[in-house]
Amino acid sequence: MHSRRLRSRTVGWGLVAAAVFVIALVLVTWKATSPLLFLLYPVLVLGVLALLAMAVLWALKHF
Amino acid sequence: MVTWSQGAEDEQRTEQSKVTIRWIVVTVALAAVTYMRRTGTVDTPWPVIVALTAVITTLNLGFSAVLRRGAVSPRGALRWLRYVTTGSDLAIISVLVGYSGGSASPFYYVYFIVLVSNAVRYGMAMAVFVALVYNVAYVAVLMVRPATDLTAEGAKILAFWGVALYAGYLAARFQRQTRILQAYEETILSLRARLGGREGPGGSA
Repeated sequence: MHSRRLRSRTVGWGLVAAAVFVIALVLVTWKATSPLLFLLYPVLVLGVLALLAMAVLWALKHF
Repeated sequence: MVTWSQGAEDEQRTEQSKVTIRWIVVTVALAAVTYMRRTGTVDTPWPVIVALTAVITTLNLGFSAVLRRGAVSPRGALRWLRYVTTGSDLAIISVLVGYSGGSASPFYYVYFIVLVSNAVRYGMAMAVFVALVYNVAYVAVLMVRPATDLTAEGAKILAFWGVALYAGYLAARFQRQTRILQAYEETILSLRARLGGREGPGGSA
């Protein structure tokens, strides 16, 4: 039970991080001053996907 | 159950078909760039067109030679070759895009041919690989040929990521269904064999 609560907190922080990544994606696209900033996309896109996948799998009780 | 040698043969067949399709796409693309250069639609220098033709021809002949020699390891099954061929395709397209107008190049959409054809063949891992290499290569193109509207370019890169992930997802689903069908076929075959054994001369039924 204790480890379950700990995991829910981790998932919560994961969702916060995913939201931050989405905001960063929008900001990079909107306010980019150099094409080099687009190199952040792989980290941000794959990060959002991984964090959302973690949350969905946790909600479905996969772990 | 798919054996290692079967996997290697499939991989070899897939890469061989990629070589054939590359000859067709390259012929069409280079004919188009030559025509557009003559009509003044693009300003790609002739030495670049000739160099690209030579590089693609050499690479394609090299890939054919590797496939003919059958560089198949018992476990690896040419796994490395798919990434080398795809990476080289994307690099060549980036050079063509860079020299034919950068972000306004009419050859930008060739990236999508590489993405979709490879994602459908190899699944999600390859789709992510293509998107990653495209992302880095297109940033390099934008550094060499700066675009006026960076927001639009960012949106183009994000759209490419969207197409890549969706194509990868669809391919993964298709591969899963194929595996399920294969398992069903194997079950039916084994059941038929067992039934045949029971109905035979020594069977009880």
